[in-house]
Amino acid sequence: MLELLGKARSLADALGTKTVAVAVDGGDVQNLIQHGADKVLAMSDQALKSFQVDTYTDAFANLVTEHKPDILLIGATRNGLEFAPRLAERIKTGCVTEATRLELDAEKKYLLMERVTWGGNLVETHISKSKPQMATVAKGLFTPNQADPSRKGDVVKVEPKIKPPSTRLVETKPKPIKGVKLSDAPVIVSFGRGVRKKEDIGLVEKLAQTIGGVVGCSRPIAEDLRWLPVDQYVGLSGQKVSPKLYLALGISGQIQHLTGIRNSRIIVAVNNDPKAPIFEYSDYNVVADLYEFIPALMDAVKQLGKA
Amino acid sequence: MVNILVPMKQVFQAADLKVDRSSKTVVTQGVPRVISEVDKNALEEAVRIKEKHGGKITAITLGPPEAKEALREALAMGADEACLLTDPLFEGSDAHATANVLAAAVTKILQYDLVICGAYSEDLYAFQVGPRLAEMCNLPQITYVAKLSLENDRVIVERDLENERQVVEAKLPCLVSVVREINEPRLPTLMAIMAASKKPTNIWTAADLALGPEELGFNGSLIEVLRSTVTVGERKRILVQGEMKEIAPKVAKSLVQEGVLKAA
Amino acid sequence: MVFIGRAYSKRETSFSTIPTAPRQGLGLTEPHRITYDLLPPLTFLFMYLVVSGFALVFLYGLYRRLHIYFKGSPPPKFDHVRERVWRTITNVFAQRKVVKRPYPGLMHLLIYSGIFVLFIGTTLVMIDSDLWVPLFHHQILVGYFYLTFESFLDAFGLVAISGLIIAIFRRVFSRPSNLPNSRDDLFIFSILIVIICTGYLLEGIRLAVDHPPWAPWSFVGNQVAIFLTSRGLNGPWIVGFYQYLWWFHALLAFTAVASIPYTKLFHIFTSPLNALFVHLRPKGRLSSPFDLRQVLASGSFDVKVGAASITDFSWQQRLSFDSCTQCGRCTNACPATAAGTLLSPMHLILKLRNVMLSQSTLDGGSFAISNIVNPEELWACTTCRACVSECPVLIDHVDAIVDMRRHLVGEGKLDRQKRDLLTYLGNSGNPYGLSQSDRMKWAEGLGVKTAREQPEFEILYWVGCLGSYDPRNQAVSRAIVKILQAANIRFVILGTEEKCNCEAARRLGEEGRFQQSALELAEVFKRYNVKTVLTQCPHCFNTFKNEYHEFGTDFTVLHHSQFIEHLIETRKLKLKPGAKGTITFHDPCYLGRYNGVFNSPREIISTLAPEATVEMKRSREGSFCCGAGGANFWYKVEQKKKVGAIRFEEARETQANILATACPFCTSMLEDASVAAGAKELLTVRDIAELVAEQISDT
Repeated sequence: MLELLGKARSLADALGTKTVAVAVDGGDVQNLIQHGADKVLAMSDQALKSFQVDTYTDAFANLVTEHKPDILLIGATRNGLEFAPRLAERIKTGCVTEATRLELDAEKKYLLMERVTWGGNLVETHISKSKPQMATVAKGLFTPNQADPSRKGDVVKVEPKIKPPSTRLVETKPKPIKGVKLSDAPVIVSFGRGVRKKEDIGLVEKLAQTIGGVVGCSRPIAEDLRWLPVDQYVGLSGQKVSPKLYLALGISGQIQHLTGIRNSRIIVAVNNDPKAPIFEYSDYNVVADLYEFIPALMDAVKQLGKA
Repeated sequence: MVNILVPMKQVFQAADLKVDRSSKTVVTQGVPRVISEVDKNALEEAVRIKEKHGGKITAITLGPPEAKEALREALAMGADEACLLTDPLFEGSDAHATANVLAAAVTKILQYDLVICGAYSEDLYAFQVGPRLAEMCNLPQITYVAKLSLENDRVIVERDLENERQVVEAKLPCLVSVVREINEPRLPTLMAIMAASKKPTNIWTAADLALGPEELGFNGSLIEVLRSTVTVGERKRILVQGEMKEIAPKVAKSLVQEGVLKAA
Repeated sequence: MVFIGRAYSKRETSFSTIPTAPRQGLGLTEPHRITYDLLPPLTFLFMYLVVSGFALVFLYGLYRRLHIYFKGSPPPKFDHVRERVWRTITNVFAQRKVVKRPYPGLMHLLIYSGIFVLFIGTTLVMIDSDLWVPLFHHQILVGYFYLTFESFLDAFGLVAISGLIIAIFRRVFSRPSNLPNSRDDLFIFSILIVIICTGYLLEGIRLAVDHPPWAPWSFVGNQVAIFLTSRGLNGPWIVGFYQYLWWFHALLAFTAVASIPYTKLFHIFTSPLNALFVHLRPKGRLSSPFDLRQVLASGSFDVKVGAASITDFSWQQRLSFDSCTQCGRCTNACPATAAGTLLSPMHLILKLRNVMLSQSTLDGGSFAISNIVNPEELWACTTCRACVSECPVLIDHVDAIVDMRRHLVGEGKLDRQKRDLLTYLGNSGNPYGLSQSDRMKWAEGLGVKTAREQPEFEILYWVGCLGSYDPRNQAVSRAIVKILQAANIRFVILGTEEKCNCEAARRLGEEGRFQQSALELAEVFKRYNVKTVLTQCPHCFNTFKNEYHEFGTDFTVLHHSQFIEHLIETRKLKLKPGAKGTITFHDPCYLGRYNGVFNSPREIISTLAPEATVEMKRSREGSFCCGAGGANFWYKVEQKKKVGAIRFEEARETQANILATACPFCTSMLEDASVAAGAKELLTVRDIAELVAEQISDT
């Protein structure tokens, strides 16, 4: 939310209009103002306590009709992704989901919304023919502004007019502990025979944790050495994955492995054999010892976080 | 007895798409056309319901005439009837226009209790058509369904969210969009696919659906594609050089710029 | 069959009360067979009465087992009679397959020949006494013929006993693996030994009482007689004892015969029948449950494919399940069993047989195979054919397994890897799901022409999917190109027109996909008028050689080992021998056992390294699979120890430092195993093409 606010703020400034944040179920209104909101519409109806498509659509549709924003940004969480299109349809506007870039066209001042399609081969720039121009944005794309305690803004309490929802939430459960689902993971840190000892897997796990990834491996690790369970190896006869980022550490790059990873958006290969086949099939190649690379990368990532 | 509609999409096999560097276009010639994977999950779920409760399954797809192949595979998997919505006027439709056409088909079909579709399509990953279709047909929607069961007049599902699972129920008729965890779709043999061509397939154009050109294609879309830039299709094979203390930060920075790494 | 001692009174004994007339034209001194000797005159009548009782039991048992074969199956086809009969004579009557394993082979040969001769002997006696004499009033069993007959029978009785003793020793003391001991075995051994021994005893008694001058010709019985006489066991009571013993022996014999359809002895019927009726397809050709062309033409897709229940198997297949003698040779040779998977070919066949037999007592209904066979058993099979090769009664296990796989595929309930394999083959034309347009990447810079570019050529080099996409095997493809260019062969490749021949789909059980591929490729081959195809993959080789012409192809196919050998022999290719250590060759299943190509690779290797070759323990037809066949390469099989690892260990035992292969799958599996064993540099896996390419001489 705060990230969206940061972007919204800069867009609003460019357009010369205001930023309005919508707080549902009593969020910290002052925090929103400090991060860039000029106005906060606070809705706290019991019905909105937990997310339901129907109630949120009703509530927001009313708000949009009333306030007529130029741009509407929604976080691309799973719930956000199902709610935004329905809302867009309700108010008859277009929406660009999982936008990777939002810029204002210099001349025409409309919102240019970019997204990646077609297996990562195409970047399309969209504009909306109608208002509000809607986009959903994934977490981590934008950075929030620094909190400015001196900022002032209005807080308006809103009574949403909502109909009872057509679905009923029965209960929430924790996700089933099925082990890592590699095929869904957006970031995978994978290792092969470059790792010399079973104990060293801990190093790989640390790196995975640092960058929010999941650990995978090549077939010999799981099948021959049995260091990891067989549903954790990536390859033709194992898991086929399509992460945003695939780190291949100490993996030579046999064809069976490559067919399992070819849907990855970006592949980084680290191997101390400059002739390893994997270097032909990856985006960023590092000829080095993975035992050196891992700590160095962890450091670098931490440094970036601080910057 | 449950009548189920399964909207499906035929897409180009994503991994085979390549970029022609000279013309800066994506090459689709010779790329196999396949049913979007998660739509198969949707159909598989429908078939399982039919096996348990009886009923009829209609597979619908909006696409070029080649999409008939996809429907044949759907019929072989267990759909009873197929509808191909094809018309040059449909070209260039965005999510809204697509949902519009599907809604017209759904209304034309009349008798249905449940719409099951994939949460997204494997080429665009837009997640939009399902909710829009539900809105247009005034159906309750439940998305990211990883488990589904039918009881009398309602569906009881498990929604798969980032950090939890929600058990949700809704009365029929409603729309459900599924994720890949829900099942493993069956694979019909070649013979089964060929035999499926005997099952009925309707082909409807814009006229059949009583849709005018102003609500279709580019005209009917609410989003316009201003431009498309082709990314370099092949792997970059960038060799990051230098001392380790230079390499690691270079890699980290590039990855953040690519949008695949989030700063910790 | 059994030695039934029949005698009829010929002369009076002290206790015999029935006088008989001497035979016409026979002097007392002429040697002849005395049947029903020492027995009351109507014995033979009672005997035949008793026999008919046993015969009914026998016939009922026969019916019970046989009728389940035919339920729901088309009638037997008996074509190519000469080929079938010859096959039966060599394999069953001449025991060719049985003696392949010398020790048990000898054992069975002894029992078999002994019993066989005794059976012939008994039949002769029956003809002699109950047919010839009443009809023609003289005997066959006379004179020198008779004397030889007696000696022969005595000798073979010993042969049978020695075989039986070896058998008992083997089962009780040696206990070879996968040789189950059942009540059947105990019963059969005991009853046969007792029958033969009582037979000798009867003979001995008879000779002791009668002392005919020709007694020594029955040399065993004679010794018994001498022994009895020397111990004074020759009193008047002996005839009575003889009569009781005679009936004892006869009843045991009838029991043994009547038990045939109820015990393992049934293989006496089923093995020749199976050898007679098992299919005549060449080894590498699987059955075609339908013809896709006909199906498309008729528009009727209602074809039953695959075996879901016992009655889905042909009557001959059911007969074959019933032929199993539980010798265990198939399971002992099976790589899947050695790897600790759920598959044991013998147990699989026995399971099917048991279901079939239990069915025969219920009428109607058929047992679903899914109740008794775990799909993982079927998926674990590499189709290496070691089981079929070993089986003495010619059971085709692979045939049955593929039929059952076909049903599983038809159900559509395959795991993701198998589904992916079939999907990739259908959508992308290769099992990797890689792009068709990348198929020629391996050949960049080599100056290789495609058939489209160069329609005039001698040889079409079929690279295959691994040769095109797998970096390890691309090196082999490049080596072959180097060889072909060095020998100035006018060759082309299909390039991006080459699509997988779907051999793996057929082995997996997706027959439709295979046939469609065959029909499509047949068009391509026809278009370019292809006469000779060269391939580096034994699976491609086998399917082109044995299966594709059913779908319209008409060319000769050569495996690269055959072709390279030919090039060396005709001096088109000159090599400089450069033995870098010792080479051992791994016979690929689909090249060696399936298609008999053993020598070509060896000729090549001996040209390269004349002094330094060594054979693995299991080689040639007895070669041990690498584990990739039967589409196993493309999906995961639960194994306690990988097939490839087992084979690699065996290779290491030869102390060689090069493990030569001739198959892209073997290369991949064995190299994987070498890496897993940490022995990649100690025993390097190389394709023979690579070895040859390195040694091409410039002169």
